[in-house]
Amino acid sequence: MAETVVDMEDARVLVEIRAGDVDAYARLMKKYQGRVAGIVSGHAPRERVTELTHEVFVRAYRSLVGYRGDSPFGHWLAKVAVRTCHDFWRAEYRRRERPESELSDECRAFAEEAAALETSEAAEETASRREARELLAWAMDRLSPTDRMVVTLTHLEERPVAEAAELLGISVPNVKVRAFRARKKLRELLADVIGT
Amino acid sequence: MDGNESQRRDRLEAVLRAAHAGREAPPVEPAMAASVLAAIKAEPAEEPAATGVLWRMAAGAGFVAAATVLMALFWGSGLEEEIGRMLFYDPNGQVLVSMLGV
Repeated sequence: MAETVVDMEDARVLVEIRAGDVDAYARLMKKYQGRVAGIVSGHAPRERVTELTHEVFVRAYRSLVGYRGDSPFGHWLAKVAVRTCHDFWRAEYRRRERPESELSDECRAFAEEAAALETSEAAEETASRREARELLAWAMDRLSPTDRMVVTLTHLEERPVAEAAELLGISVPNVKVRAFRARKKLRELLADVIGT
Repeated sequence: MDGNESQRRDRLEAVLRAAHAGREAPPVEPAMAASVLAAIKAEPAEEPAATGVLWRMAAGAGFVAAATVLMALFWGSGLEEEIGRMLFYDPNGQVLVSMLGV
């Protein structure tokens, strides 16, 4: 592992913050901003990433009392980021009655095209198209907030179940069950789109 | 479902996974650190944990005191007899007496 348990520079900054120097927090933000934005962009719509990254840092500051230094600060911050995104989706789902939108004809045509691809190089190229992101967002919108987080972590990002459970703050068996069911639902949705 | 259908789903899933992996994070906002610090400073300072515990203890004590006063008023008012009469039409109080085991 490249990261030691607690980076000495991080530890120094944390001591300064705990001594009352709020401005010292800017050094941690500059160091981890790219990483946090990367995590958030994996879970939230692109146009909300900046706002949620901001929220992650505010929440992390408020929760600093709970950080005991038994894991690297970056790992702890990753947990805050994932849980902030989870809360974001829960709030979004509460706000809109049915989080469903129709899939465009272009997306349906794209899905047919992608399902017929022969080589992985062609798949890579196809994946960069706008329709791929639209189709993924459409399918994820049909999962519950927790299921979409679990599927993103375990299936799309291929993280181990234990890591996903730790990031989300839920049990390993719960993640296993949700990952299985949610992936099944995702495959059924895709099957409907390509008419199989 | 035959093997061909399953393969088609697998390919589509692989494309979506690649789309997720290839997503672009928005560029780093240089002003974010300043705006986060401003948000933190704008909030009232959180009260220390010990103060929070004291507040909860005081609230608990207040609740117990209020409940005691209400109980004293209730048992001295004859309201309990009214409630007993509502529950059982028992002019001599025999049912209540036997229920209480007196």
